[in-house]
Amino acid sequence: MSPSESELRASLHAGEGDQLDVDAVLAQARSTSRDRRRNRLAIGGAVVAVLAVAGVITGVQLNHDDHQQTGAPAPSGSPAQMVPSCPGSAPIVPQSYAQATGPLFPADVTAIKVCLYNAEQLTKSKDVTGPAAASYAKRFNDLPVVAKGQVCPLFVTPYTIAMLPVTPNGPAPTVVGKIGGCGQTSNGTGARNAGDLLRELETGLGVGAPGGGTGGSVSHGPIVPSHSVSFGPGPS
Amino acid sequence: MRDETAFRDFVQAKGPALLHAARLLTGDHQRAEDLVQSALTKLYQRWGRTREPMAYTRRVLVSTHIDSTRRRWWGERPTATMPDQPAPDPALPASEDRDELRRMLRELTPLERAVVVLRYYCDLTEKDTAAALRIPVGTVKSTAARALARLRVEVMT
Repeated sequence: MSPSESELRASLHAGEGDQLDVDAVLAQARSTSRDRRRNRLAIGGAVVAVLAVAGVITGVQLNHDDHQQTGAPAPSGSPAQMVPSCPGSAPIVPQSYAQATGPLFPADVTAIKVCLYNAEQLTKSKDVTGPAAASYAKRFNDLPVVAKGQVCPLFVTPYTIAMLPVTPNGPAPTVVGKIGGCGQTSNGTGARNAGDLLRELETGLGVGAPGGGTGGSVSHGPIVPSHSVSFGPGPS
Repeated sequence: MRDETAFRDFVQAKGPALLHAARLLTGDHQRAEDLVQSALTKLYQRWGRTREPMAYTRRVLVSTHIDSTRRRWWGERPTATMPDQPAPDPALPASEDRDELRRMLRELTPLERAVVVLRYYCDLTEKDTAAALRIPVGTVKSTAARALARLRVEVMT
């Protein structure tokens, strides 16, 4: 070590020993730390608020898209987002409908997933929500109960319509109908001859069953209207 | 939870040395106190998570000082009116040699001053000085040599 370095060290150490005001240092450190924590919380709160607003906007946008898809306004609670998906193959019409007098749809239905099958294969589906769903549910329920011993023509098309109702409490039993014959439709506890309505739904899906629901020229089934029906609210 | 008692003990034990190092770096008692306060506040926020609090505080001290000497667009502006000159540091004895040393230290660049303080006041090795300043050891050596040369030249003339 050179002498000059020793002198430098001694000179640098000269005058040391002043005490710091520890309380002041601690108070300032606490204050700064508190401010930083407050700032972090404010920033975190702002981020959460922005994310919440973005989430609401996204939800509203998605809901709006669903409305455009069905052409009907969805009620609050976004039931369209809860509509289940169609089964891959046509469900079998429940066979216990012979004297089933219960309703096909629950009274508080908020959405219906309509699935059209051709020869057991899913060909088309559509969501019906809001008032349109409630209207269809009422129209199905209001149809006359299948009379005991009723004889239906055996003509049956390869077309099946499955309707998956959704209520505020969740999905309800699936309603299945076969196009043709009497248009027998059942959910296991209720059964109706719904040829007209099934045909209307089928037309609304944009897929016409060849020969109509009554077997073309054969006039032993329900009369089917030939007009095109959209998925708007129907007569109640 | 922060152990404030340990932090208080640390400040009481190491505060004087940190304050003196800051005074050597800044050449001004008031700025030195601000610098130490700033470094200790940063240490307080990391207290309990820093294995070597003194090394951390020294590093913050020198880096904060060097950063503060860099001129920024929002920094100091030339003015026609001179501010009050700081009073002579009462903590340093009014020795001519020491006044001369303070004057010479001020003429060094901030990095040179930091190297001198860390190497010859804090007695850090070249490696530790390099770690504190986050520069290569070679840069510490060359900077220290340059600073000593300037100080010696000044002393000798």
